[in-house]
Amino acid sequence: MIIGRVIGNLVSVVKDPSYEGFKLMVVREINTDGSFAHRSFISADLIGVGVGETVMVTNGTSSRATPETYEKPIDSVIIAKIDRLIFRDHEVDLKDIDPSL
Amino acid sequence: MNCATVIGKTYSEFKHPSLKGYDFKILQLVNAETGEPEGKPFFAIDPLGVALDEFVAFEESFQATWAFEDHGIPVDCAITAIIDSLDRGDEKK
Repeated sequence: MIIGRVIGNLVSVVKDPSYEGFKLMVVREINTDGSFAHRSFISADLIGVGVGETVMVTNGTSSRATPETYEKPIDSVIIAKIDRLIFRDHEVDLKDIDPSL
Repeated sequence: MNCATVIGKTYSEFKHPSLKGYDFKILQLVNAETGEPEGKPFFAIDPLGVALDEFVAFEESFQATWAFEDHGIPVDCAITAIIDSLDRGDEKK
């Protein structure tokens, strides 16, 4: 799993019928040191998050393990909202991350 | 499967209903042969309840969902064992 910041959402009129009911979000990856990775991707939202929130994302086959996504063309899902990131000797302040590239 | 050290944890209140009761730990991959840390830290779900600095084994990819009785859990990295000792030839870590 990786963590990321939700930086936008995706609107699509013509889409695969199995995407019906899913919110698709644009997520930018965050490194464990609190900096942004230069990589963003689209992820299906399973829990209902908003733009600007820090989230945990599962990639690959595991994202089709839930009943909601089973046998659907999805390989990235948002599974949790991350409130705090605590290491042995310090805490990464998630609010401090600069959202600009 | 591979071994890693637990170097941190996350707090997450709002998550997928299948993840209730579990939390995410931050792991650092450890080379089983040399004991040296390798690569960048990463996240894993913790069904065992491990402590900070503990030496653990983890499973990646789809197999991680099999660490739970209910397989409908969307995780791609799970802690599967706490390593008490690791023998390699004459040395002990």
